[in-house]
Amino acid sequence: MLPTFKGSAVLGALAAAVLLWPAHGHHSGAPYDGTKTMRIEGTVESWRFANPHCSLQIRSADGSTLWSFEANPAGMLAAQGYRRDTFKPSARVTVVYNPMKDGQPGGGRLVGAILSDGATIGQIPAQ
Amino acid sequence: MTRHRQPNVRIVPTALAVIACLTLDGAAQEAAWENANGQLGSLARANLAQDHAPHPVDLTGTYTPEGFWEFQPFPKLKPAAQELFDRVRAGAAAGVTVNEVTGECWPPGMPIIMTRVWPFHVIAVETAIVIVFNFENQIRWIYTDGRQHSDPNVYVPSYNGESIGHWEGETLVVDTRNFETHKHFIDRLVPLSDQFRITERISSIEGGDRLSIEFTMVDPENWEGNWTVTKTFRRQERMDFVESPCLPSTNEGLPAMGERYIEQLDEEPPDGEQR
Repeated sequence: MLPTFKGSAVLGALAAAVLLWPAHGHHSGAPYDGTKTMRIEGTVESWRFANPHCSLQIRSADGSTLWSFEANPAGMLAAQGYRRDTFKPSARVTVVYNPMKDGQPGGGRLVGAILSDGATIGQIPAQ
Repeated sequence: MTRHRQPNVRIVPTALAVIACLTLDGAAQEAAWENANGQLGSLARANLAQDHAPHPVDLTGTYTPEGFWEFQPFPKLKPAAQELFDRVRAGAAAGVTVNEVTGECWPPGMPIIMTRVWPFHVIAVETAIVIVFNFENQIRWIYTDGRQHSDPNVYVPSYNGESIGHWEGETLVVDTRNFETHKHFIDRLVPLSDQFRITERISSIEGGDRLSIEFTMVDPENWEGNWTVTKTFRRQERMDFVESPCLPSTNEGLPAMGERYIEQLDEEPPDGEQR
């Protein structure tokens, strides 16, 4: 049975709430806008594969800005295919991320990535 | 020609005396860790050998919390608690994290440690049920050996509290008290006082595929009446985990943990109290 409009609204609200939950639970994700995904291309500066959360830093393609992204715990990401050597220093990468709510030039949560060989990891929404 | 050194007759007995003292000091030091009230340890051979009733249900397993970690619906909060609650909620709506205690490595404590996303192992023996949490390597002991709660003047307050359990049919009823209250909140939102107590009714449901825990929480200083919420947990069969420490470097480079997004509470310890 198809959901009614009212049901859809409830499901939509639930889905939005899920997007806003920090999946790792270590700290608040309040500064991130979990309803939006964006992309940026750059080169890998560092990749930390660890609990309670991973982190990735890249330098923008024009070299002007260092972007920092946090990601879920390594324990969760490993099951999705992420590895300690997924992001190699100086490698080209396109990062898909949730931006900051205040629009600050900086990273938000890592959603997925397109690696230098074209392989994808995580979630890559259609553009 | 080989020269044989003669033992120094003064040094040898002195060395022996020092070794003896160190050994005695070591034994005394080890004994100093014993339970202050003389209670047999939960894993002591003499305790395990006693005729404890076997647990009617073996809760041993690995579980993950289901649903959002908050304990909704919230109770009617007292004014000071409501003020904090509103401030945290308003901050979140504005993209600012108020009172980010857990992110800054303060233990989440009970009850949030049970529901905060991460898996946990439950290991049951007759005298105790041990819960090992992946999140920040936390641990809970639920004693089922018939002991009473400790004198709160002796027990070292803890974020997960002192838990004593007994069985009512196939439901494990756990009474937890003696909490540390410093920087201990229910998910940043609700403060806790030394009157905080939790009663859990833990049941294995759906043939052991899930756990159901009814939490009833009281803290007359911070809310009115009983705050009762039931949470469920799903058994996992392909899940081990490695440590997850909160370290000084844990938050390095994380945008959300940058100073511009964190608002601290103006909290000072009572006069003369050191934290």
